[in-house]
Amino acid sequence: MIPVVEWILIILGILFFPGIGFCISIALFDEWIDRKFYAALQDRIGPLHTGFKGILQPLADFLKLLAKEDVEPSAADKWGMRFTAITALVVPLVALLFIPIIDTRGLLSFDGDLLLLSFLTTVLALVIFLAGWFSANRLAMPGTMRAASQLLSYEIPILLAMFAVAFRTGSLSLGGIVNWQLAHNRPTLFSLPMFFFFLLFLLSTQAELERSPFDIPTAETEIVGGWEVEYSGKKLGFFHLSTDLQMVYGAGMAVALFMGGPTGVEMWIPQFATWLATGSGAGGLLYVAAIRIGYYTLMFALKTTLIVLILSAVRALMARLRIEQFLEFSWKLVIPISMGVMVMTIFYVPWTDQVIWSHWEGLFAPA
Amino acid sequence: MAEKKKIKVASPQTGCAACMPNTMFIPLGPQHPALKEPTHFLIEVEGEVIVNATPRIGYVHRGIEKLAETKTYSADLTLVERVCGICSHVHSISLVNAAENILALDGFEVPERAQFIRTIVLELERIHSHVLWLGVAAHEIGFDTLFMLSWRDRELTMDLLEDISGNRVNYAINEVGGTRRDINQQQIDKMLKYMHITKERMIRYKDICLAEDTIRLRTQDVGILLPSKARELCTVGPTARSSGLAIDVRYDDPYSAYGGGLRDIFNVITFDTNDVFSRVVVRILETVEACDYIIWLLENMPDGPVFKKAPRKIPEARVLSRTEAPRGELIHYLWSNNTNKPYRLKITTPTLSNIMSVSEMMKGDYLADSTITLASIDPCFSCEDRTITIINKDRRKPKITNMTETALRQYSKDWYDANKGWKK
Repeated sequence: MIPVVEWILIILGILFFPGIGFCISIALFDEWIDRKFYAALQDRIGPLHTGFKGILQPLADFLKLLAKEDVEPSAADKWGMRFTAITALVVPLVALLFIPIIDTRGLLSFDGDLLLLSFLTTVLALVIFLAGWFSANRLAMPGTMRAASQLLSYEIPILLAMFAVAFRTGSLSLGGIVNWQLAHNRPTLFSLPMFFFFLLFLLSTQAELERSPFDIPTAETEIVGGWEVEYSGKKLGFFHLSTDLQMVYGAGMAVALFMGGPTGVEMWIPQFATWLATGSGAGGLLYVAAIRIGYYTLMFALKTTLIVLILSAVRALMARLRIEQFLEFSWKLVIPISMGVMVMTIFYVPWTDQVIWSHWEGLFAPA
Repeated sequence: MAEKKKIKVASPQTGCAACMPNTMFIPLGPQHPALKEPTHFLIEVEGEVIVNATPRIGYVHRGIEKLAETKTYSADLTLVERVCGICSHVHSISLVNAAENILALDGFEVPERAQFIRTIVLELERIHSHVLWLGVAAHEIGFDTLFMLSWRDRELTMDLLEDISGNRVNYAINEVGGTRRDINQQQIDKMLKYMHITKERMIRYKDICLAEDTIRLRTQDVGILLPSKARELCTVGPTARSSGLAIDVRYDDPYSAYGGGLRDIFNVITFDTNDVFSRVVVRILETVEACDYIIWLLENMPDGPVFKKAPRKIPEARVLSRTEAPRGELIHYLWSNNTNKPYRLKITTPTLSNIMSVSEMMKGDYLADSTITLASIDPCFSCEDRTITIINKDRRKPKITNMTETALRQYSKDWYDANKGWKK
């Protein structure tokens, strides 16, 4: 039986840190980073006035949208629109509770949460499909159809990447994957097939976030914003915040799967790792626990920001693809190659474990 | 020459009975993020493939031609500059050429230096218009970085225009008989410096557009207009040149300073892939050429006055003045009647010539390509709209009434009588 104090801690964790409050803050922060970096690549300045160098601009935008008039077309399914707007916000928040942020395991982590997360990713795309469908607009329909066909194309690579890591580490939970990387003194990224899957994951995340060159379902100059054309006011604010949260979720997944989660240099400094471990668990030292949480949060923020910078650079570098070009690219190129790499991983990885990585791990083994 | 690759679609007439009503109508405009000015295309799509596109124009008719009849030539120059916000100078050049051609029958000559300054402003305007178009086109295909960077580089040209004319949009540098401002050595040096920078950057953008895969994916084999069709639909300007037709008024029928030594170094840029990519390449290359022309003009600038006082009254004549606007051939038809006001001024802008070709380009393409196809002719609808279209009640099928000139005059007279307009 769990004591009451722990229940309270978990609820506080879900509400404030590292739950909803922290996730929304970091989502807005990452949007600012994204906008600033994107602007710098285009020789612009980006948000400037609200807060320090415009750091509060995403929050201001969100609050402004909350205050705006919320128009619902008479032909649309009103409750459907409301439902999808709220679901779009809730689903990434739930998914973020499974991402390891202040510990090597997420707040609600359990064995096999990777399966739940893959399910939540699909639900998000389904919500977008429904959002366009309910709004009953002629320009939303092509956007909806594009979102649906795009979903089919990026879901498979994203799942392949997730399960390739699960196969590599022998664990179906994010906590297990992070612990494996800690125990083996290296992020999963340090391997040729896994690096390929890392790139694949980033590319698919870009497609899931509907950012250039995969902003096909919301193409502003073609179908006026696609599925989100009829959303205004609070609902649009929810969708925008949802996109930011998805970005953090995608970056957090990439970090946990490929970059060692919130862990940092203690991978290569066993003494530091042992010292940090004294802060965990029930009988841990309190001040070590505080340092550990701060250190992990910092590492998580740094790594997600790095991922966001990569995603922004991709966004700035390319023109938007057409939907059929994206489908061709995905089905004819990405999926066959990633299947092949998956098969290769099965034979290649045990061999490299034996030949290279056993020596590598020997370097850091306690004497 | 690229073959016309079109996706086969089952047309409603030939398709099977079960799959017949599979088309959907999607309106493109009058208000649309891809359109900077209002126009309307009713696009019939089958899934994502465009089966048919019907243009409807006339949303921004402003009555400029009628207004021009009530003003003096000097005031009309100010007026016709307002026909277009981007190619404003070429309109005033066109009217000024028409008036000066009539005066030339009586031996009136415009100073050479004025012609050079006019041509420099014309070419600067072409650069700024083409670079603006490049940015808009990049935005249409979702490449915002190129959009921002090209518009940054356009600022150099805008600064030059402001420097020599005092204005960034409507330059107001023309007068019947010359130009209102001279340019000094300092300005010439600045222009030479900026033109070299602009040329360098344009060559870089050309390299980017030729090498960047996503640009090529979005523009190649899109919006194909075969040369035969281009000729049939009377396309003009870069749209025609990118279909391989070597049409350029600057070369074919020189005006201002295009006739002299400049004609020897003049290249009519053509490209033969007939698609949107071809239009991108033609426009960028024309910008590079325009930089060369400006440099040549600055280096060979004659000395002398820039203005010679012209008589106020223009003798009776009818003149057709052709100029090459950034978008194509611009026609001003001037009918003077020995007063200081034109009796009739008729303007035909290049967009009107090109708009019909858009429907042809769109057929068989994807819906996603409709906006870049429309943008590829560099449309300017407020210049184009000078017809009145009477629309049916169901607002779908425009019914165009053709009126003779007498009938139109009678109509306008009746209208003013009934509405107690200006005729008081």
